[in-house]
Amino acid sequence: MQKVLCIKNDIHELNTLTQFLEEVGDELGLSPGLVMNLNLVLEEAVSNIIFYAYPKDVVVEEAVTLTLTCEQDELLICLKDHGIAFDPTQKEDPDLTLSAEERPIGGLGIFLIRQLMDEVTYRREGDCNLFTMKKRITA
Amino acid sequence: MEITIQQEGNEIRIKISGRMDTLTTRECEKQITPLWEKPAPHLVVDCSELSYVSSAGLRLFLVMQKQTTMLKGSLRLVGMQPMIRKTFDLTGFGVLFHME
Repeated sequence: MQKVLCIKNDIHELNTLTQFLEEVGDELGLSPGLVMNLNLVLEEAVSNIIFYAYPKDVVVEEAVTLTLTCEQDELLICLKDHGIAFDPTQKEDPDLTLSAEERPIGGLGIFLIRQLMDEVTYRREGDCNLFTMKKRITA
Repeated sequence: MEITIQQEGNEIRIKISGRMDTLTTRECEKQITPLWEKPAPHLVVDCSELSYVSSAGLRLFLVMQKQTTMLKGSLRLVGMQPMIRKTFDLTGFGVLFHME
């Protein structure tokens, strides 16, 4: 099974994303916990693209293309955009041993993605960023 | 997302229901920010109907913790559902808060 969602560079598209994931979850019979985790991961990755990949005052209709493929016990999610080159996998993890006073505000996004997915890869292909995530589905 | 803020004795009870994501957390933060004008605010956040917290939501919880500590108040999170608690624990946030 393969589903594709194409969204513009408007942060309100996150609502479209949530609805898309709920539909996919229903169709594949995914657990509410897994659907929530996919939502967390994709909210991080997609909002990064919407906020930073394109010039702020330009509306890009096909800013992000999400392709979700389900094969046997694995979900493969690919995000493609044609904004500025950005490799989210290069970001350092936050220091989890710090106290609330010491913890910096922010910097959690990519860490959450790494924690929740089994495999995360990035490559630049032509003028596109391709960010791919894999998640094994356990019944 | 829905938020209600009520004074109960010497505590301020904040109930956040629904989703705290990149979009809704902005509104939530707007409503909470005036609380930092009070001295020593003692906050109780009712999380029983909180259904989703993304990193934007976690960030706001961290702001609440930092502000209440700075103002010599306190912060308690009550009734959090296990699924949301997992997100807190995954990011090392679980240990930063007083949860009941």
